[in-house]
Amino acid sequence: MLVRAGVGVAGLIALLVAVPAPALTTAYGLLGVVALAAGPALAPDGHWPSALVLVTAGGWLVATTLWPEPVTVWRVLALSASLYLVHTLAALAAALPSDAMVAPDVVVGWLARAVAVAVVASLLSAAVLAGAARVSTGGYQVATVLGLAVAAGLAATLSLAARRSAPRS
Amino acid sequence: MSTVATFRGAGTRGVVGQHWRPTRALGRAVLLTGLLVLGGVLLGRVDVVLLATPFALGAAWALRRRPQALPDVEVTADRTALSEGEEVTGTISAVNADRTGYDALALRAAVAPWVDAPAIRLPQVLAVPPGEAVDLAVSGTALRWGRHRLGPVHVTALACDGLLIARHHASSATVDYAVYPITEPFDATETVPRAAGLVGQHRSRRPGEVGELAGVRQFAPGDRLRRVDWRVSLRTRQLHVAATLSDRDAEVVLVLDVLADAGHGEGSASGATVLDTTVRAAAAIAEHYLQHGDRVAMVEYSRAARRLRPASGRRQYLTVLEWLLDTSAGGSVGAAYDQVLGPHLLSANALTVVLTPLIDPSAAAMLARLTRAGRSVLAVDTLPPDVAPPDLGAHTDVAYRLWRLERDNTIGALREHGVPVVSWAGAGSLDLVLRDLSRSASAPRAGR
Repeated sequence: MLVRAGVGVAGLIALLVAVPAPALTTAYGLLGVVALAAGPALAPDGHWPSALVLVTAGGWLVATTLWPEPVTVWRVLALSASLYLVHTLAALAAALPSDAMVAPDVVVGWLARAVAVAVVASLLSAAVLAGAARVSTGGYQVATVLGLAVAAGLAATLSLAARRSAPRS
Repeated sequence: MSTVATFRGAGTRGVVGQHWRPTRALGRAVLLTGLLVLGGVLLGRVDVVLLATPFALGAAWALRRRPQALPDVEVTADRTALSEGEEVTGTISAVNADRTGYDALALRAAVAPWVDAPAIRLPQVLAVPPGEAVDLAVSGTALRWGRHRLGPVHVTALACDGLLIARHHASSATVDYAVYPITEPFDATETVPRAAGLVGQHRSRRPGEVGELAGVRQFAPGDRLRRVDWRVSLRTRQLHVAATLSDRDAEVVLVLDVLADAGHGEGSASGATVLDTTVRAAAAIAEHYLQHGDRVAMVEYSRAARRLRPASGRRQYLTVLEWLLDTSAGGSVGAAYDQVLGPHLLSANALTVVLTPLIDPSAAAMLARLTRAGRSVLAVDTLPPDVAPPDLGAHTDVAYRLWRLERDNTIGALREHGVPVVSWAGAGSLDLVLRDLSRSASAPRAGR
């Protein structure tokens, strides 16, 4: 239950950071945000975590495009870290039976690894954002180059993982 | 004595490595990374691309070292032979022989329903570092007699931050406990009606060479000179001898009527079903007679129609206890009388103690048939006094009372035909009827 509660809290933080502020002023908006955050906590083994991440990213795009909300470093970092926490805690909650008795070192170790990944990713992101701000030609080229680099790295990682997962004869 | 059962998961790495499967989280990480990167590139948004960074970084870091083997699971029992109410103790060990740690290892052990071990019934989740082992202490109470099993253990292992999962049923990791019934106190001081052999602990009703003094009588041809009572002979001026009763052993056949079960039993702590009363009473009666050097045979009057040959001694007592563990209720149709109680199977002089709840009509018929065959039969009523049927409607109570009346009529009819029926009440509960049976057995009989 504690792990599922963590999923819900992380999802709520991500939505509060991403969703445009005017949407949070209405009761329906708040209710929708809470309901959306509760989805992955209640069904971590389904498609809810993916849906939450995609909806949050969409909300972020809308908030920073249609509304005059600034793209600040802390918001990007908070959003990426909380979305990753939703993802990794949902992975743990999905594998555990709901009535399981979990040893504290399992949750502590899991959170420690998740925080370590989030910190490293945040440092990387902060460096990239700082570098992108100095480039006068705008972010489009930087995003293209960075995206291509990440895509190439991802392809290499997945290729390596697929080779290692092939059954041995 | 401790017993160990092991499931080897790491023995064949090449095959076992295939048990590890990607989870939905791995697919999600790849999907989100791809979509966010693509979206960021298409929209020219660095911040959107950066949202994918922890997903890609976390997956790449987690998958740098993949597990190949499943954990070894070992179930150990401190003692496998217990009595009702005693503590069940043991250990479930999980060994990680891999070079990769298990981030979470969920162990769900199957526990027999009559073992009260609430903590171990729930799945236990532990972290197992590479090359190490973790132990789970098993502690509970054996609530009821029978053969109870701890295990097998269902294992769910998570590695690579939840991106890989392995599920396996460690079917060989089991330990069997034999929980023997508590023997309700029983002590019959009365003799058995017709003793069999010429050795044993029972004072018989027949004269013999050794044993308890029966009286003094006049000398008759055949009497040994050493048995002459000289004091009485001098006083009466006629030869008198001291007569004694011989010591003899007996054969007791315990018939367990388990055609049907009734009542609510919650183990040794409270309540008892027909089956519980039958098994515990049988263990107590067998223990009593075997301690006195008698021979005890067991018969299960049910579809199973099991038999245990008559024998005596401590070894037979242990055999009886083992035999009782396999007793189960059922099979009201087709209980074959001749299969278990036929004339060629039972000794003519045996005392037949039938433990019966008198629920199935064929039980009364069986008792009548045994009596007509001239055997010494004693019926012990094993129906719990507080038994009641489930409430099935307005007429349940009336129907139940009618059934009780009909059952009382059956008991009365059995008594009229010479079958004593007594409720099981522990110590000395059979003494009165044993005395009546002994008298009737020693009385002259009309030829049939």
